Amino acid sequence: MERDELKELWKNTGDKTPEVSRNKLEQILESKAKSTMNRFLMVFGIAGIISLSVITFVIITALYRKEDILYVINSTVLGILTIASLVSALWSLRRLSETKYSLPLKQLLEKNIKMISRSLNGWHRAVSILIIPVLFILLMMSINVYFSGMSYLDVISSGESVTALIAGLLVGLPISYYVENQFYRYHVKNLNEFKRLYKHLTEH
Amino acid sequence: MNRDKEEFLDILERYQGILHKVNLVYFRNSADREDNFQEMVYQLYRSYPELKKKESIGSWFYKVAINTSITKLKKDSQLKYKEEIPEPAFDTDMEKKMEEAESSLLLLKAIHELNDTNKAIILLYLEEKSYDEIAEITGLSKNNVGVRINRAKKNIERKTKIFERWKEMN
Repeated sequence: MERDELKELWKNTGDKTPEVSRNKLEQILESKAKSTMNRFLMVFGIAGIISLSVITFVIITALYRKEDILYVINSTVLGILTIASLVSALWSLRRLSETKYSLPLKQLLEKNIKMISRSLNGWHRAVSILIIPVLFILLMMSINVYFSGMSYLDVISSGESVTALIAGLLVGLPISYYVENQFYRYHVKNLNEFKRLYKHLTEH
Repeated sequence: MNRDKEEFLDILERYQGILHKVNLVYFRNSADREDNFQEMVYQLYRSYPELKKKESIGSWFYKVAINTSITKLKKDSQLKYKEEIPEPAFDTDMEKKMEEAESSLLLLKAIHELNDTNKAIILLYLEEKSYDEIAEITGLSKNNVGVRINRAKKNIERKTKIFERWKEMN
């Protein structure tokens, strides 16, 4: 095939797709915007409902047990960590959704590689691994102490409660880490794919 | 409807051909193309405020469309691999139509064999974009663009010859 034929042939190939009418384009834009917004609202809604439930529980139970200083401290730390986790998760989601597709391809790939690498390797990763057991223990202690009717100190010194706490951790932690690992693997896969594309683009 | 959206739809209506061509190069069947078309329209609309500040509309359309498609390919690992090209126009006779369709399919197959970044470069070349514009859209140097175009062209020519030979044998 002669070289000039490529462009000629492409003209025949590329111009065959029928044009979409203006009304249809408007419909596409509206339905896509709506579905993207719904997806965002769903994620925001689930995270928000869980966090709000924990915070409400923490505030109400702390008010009922305000004379138990250890319980109030437990509840306060749990509340602060829950809010911090929610804000951090929403911040990451916002950054991800703000991907600038109008950048040159090379810069877009560099930006994505940098952003994902930072979240996978830096202090973000360490915090996300550490915060799971801390949140889990604080929440279990909060529920356990409140429903047992005993003081915080009595619960942590009772062998029965410690056994229940350990049993809870043995079941809950692997599930939590499994979910966290799924997210981690998804991001690693994305990172490798961006690196592969970047290599293709820059190799000589 | 607000004025920005009206303006955007005007531009989109005029330049939608670019989206169809990017789709053709990156996706092999109509369902994936339709899906990606929606995504490109949405991403273009999101980036639209930036267009008002700068550059040519065509380059901006190519940039957003290519970046969106490459990102979508990365997300969808389950894309089906059945070659499909749009139906040829009905103003030609049957024999010519068949010939054209076969040659188009051959060219598309060869382009699909390129890696995802070279697909973008060869598309821009086939669309008569200058080396400067291709460099601006991809972020590569002008020299690098030249080298890559030559390499991709040779690759396509080699592939189309192999396909032609294969076709003759069958």
